[in-house]
Amino acid sequence: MKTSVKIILCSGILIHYLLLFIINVDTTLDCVVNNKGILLVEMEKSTYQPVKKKIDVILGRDKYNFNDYINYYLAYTGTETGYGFFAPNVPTSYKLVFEYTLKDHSKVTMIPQISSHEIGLRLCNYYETIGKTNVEILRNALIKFMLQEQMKGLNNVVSAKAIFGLVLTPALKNYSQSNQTAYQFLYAYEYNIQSK
Amino acid sequence: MNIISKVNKGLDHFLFKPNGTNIFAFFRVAVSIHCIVFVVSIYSEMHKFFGLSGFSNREVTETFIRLKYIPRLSWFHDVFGSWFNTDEQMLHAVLLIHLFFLITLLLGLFTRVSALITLFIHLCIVQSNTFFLYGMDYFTTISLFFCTFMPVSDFSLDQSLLKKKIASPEFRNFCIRFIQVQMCFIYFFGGFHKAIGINWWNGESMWKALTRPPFNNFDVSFFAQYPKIFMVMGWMTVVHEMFYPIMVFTKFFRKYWVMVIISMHLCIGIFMGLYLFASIMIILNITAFLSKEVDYIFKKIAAFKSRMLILNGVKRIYYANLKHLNTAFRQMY
Repeated sequence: MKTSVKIILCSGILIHYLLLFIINVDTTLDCVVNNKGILLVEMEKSTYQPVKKKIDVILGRDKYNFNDYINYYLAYTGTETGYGFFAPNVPTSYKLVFEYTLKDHSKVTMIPQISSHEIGLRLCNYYETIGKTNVEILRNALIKFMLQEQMKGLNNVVSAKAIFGLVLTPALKNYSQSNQTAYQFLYAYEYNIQSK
Repeated sequence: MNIISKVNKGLDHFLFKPNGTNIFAFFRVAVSIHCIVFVVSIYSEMHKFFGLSGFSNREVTETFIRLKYIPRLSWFHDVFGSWFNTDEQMLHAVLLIHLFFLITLLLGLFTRVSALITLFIHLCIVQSNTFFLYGMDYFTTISLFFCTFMPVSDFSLDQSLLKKKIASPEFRNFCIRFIQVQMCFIYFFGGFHKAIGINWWNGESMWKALTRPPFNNFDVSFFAQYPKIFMVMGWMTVVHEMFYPIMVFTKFFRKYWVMVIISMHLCIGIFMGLYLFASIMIILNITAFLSKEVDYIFKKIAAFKSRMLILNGVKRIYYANLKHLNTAFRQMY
């Protein structure tokens, strides 16, 4: 192999891993600052902000025209995110329940129906977005889409309610005292279907 | 010898030491099969998650794509939308095209083009609705990206029919190192993120991971009376992930460490139902660090094949001779 080819390959791999390193430092910083119950590292927001700003500049998050190419590269190579899955803590589960009121005043309660396990796993991430977003319009829209899809099999629906909450599975240390799963209410929406 | 030339030599040895491995054939086949299973598993409900009317609306979810030239499903809709009666039909057609190129990638026919197209369609699917993304999608993208430039056309139709040139041993070693370092990043940061949370040290996270719906494939509540088991499992996970970059480069621990990590992924697949995530991680681990072992298996298969060929040849000669002897014998008497 020619030396020039080797130099090109070396620089390529170096840039790739430099970007990967920055992405992972970025997610680590987010992980440290945004989570309570951190054991090994503690960081003040005043220390975090300047570092985060610099990383954002490098990754082109605040000046889009400056380095869009980096973001394209990251997206096309699947390296746009860090690797802290299920970390620092395992996320909580959510549950979404629909209650449809029919013309004859009868009520039908159901949860989103999924037949494939693979799609079911993806639904968890969807719920997490609904649960964590601060944008009320987005949350409402995401729940509404699900409600409409679920309603397709039902006739004469007059109104519908959507209740979204947390699923609190028993903790390991308390399991001997109580092994019951609890549900904590978070959001509820009511839709009048006829005046849609 | 000064420091710069020493570093140069070390780097050259690390990245470009000739390596005649055939592991990339395994990588191509395994990644293709993984993607085929992925396509089959989402086929029936694709429209619910990536359609215009389903659990989410594609027009809304695609507005979250920041950059103009990130692939998305609406590109297909804009170009071929009029060919189909419904959006669902179009999505199924996209998946069928994806499936077709995955099969050509599996067989190694027009390998490079197939890899590029499959990467493009995979990106279209996953980027169209980032609310549904999880770790497996990123690792599949990384693997397909590797297929676009790595020497994955070993034992392929490209090689046997089109007589494509094989990659140099130096480039093969470079590619192996590329995957190895990527894996080190993945595990080190994965382990480090876990290590900074208290719950991975006291077993609570391990317990939660196994009991939280929809990952509660098996009832592990019986083990709740032995909380130390979960604590040890949590510690093992963190330690094995964090020390992965060091241990996999030691001669003594390499096999052990990779086998433990593979077992961990097998458990994730079986107990948590994340079988596609488990499979792609196992494929990446085997490709990165068990290439010698896979090459050994390839060699054994090749030796067995050649032995069978020789045996068949001998049989043919033996029977031909026997026939000849038989006729000679008849002529004599």
